[in-house]
Amino acid sequence: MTLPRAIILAVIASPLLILARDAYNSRSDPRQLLLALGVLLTILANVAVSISLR
Amino acid sequence: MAAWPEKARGMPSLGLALVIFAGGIAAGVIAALLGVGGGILMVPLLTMVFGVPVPSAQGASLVAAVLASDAACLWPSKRSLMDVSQAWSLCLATTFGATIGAMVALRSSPEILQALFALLLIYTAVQLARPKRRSNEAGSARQQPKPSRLRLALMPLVGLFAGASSGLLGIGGGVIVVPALHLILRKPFKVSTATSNLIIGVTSLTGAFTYWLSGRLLPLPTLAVAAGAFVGALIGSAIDRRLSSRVLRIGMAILLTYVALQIGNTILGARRQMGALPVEPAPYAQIRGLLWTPIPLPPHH
Repeated sequence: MTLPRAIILAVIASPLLILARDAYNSRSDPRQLLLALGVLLTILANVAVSISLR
Repeated sequence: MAAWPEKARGMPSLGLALVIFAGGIAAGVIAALLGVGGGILMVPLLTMVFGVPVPSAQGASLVAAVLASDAACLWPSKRSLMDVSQAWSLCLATTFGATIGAMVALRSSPEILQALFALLLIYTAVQLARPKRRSNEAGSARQQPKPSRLRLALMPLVGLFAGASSGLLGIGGGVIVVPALHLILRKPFKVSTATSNLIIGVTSLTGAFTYWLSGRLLPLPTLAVAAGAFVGALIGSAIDRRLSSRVLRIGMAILLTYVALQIGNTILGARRQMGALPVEPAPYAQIRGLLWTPIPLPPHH
C-alpha cells in the first residue's frame, strides 16, 4: 500500500474514533451505548460486504 | 489506480492541488454551516473544472465529507450542539434506507419519485424561508423541550427516507435530515445542522471505503479537496456562532431549491435523450448550461 492510499484510509476510518469516544462517554447510558454499538456493527457489516463483493 | 492527467490544463501538480484545496475550503464552510456533505459543490468542481473522472470525484467528495464532519466534531461550540443519541438512531435508519433506495433505483424507473422528491424539497425550502412566529432557536440539544412521541416515532421513517433518497437520487442525506430535525422534531436550526454533521461522517465512511477499495480514489485531488474541506469546516464551525439561524435557514432554503432544480434538470435531460421531449431551443439550453455547469478553466491555465 502506498503512503497516500494509507493516509486516505486513515482519514476514512477517523469517524470510528469519534464513535468510540461517544460510546465510551455514554457508558452510563445503556440506550445510547447500544445505539453507538449498533452503528459500529452496521459499519463493520457494510465494510465486510464491500470486501466480500470485491 | 486510474490515471488522471494532472498536467492536462498546463498547471503543475502543486498549483492544481492548491486550487482544489481552495475549492475544498469553500465546500467545507458550507458543509459545516448547513449540515450537508458538500458533494453538491465538490463533484461538479472536480469533474467539470479539473477534469477528474466522475467516480473518482464522487469518492473524493465522500472522503472530504468525512473530514468535514471530523472538523465539526472537533470544534467545541459545534460539538456542544450535537444531539448524539438522535444522531446514532438516524445513522442506523439511514443506512438501511440507503440500501432500500439503491434497490428501488436499480429495479424501477424512479422518475416519478424523483419529481415528487423535488416538489418536497421546494415545499421544505418555503417552510424554512418563512419567518418564524415563535422562536425555538436558543440553547443546546439538551436544553430543548422533549418532542411528542408521535414526532419521535416519525424520525426512524425520516432516517429511512433520507437514506432511500440518497440511494435513489445519489444525494447526501443532509438535505433531508437537517429540515426534518428542525421542522419535525423542532430542534433549533443550529442543533439540526450540528447533528447532521455528525451523521454525515459516519454515513459517508462506508461509501468512501468502497471507493478506496476499488482503487478509484486519485490521491492528489482526494487529499487536496479533503484537506480543504477540513479547514473549511473548521472555519464554518467557528463562524457558525456569529451567524443568525435565520440566515442559515435561508441558506438551506436556497440549497434545497438548487437541488430540486437540479433533479428537475436531470429528469428533463433524460426524457430528451429518450426522445420523449422535443429538443429545447438554443437560448434555453445555454441558460441551463450556465446554471448547472461551472465555467471550465481555459486551456492555458
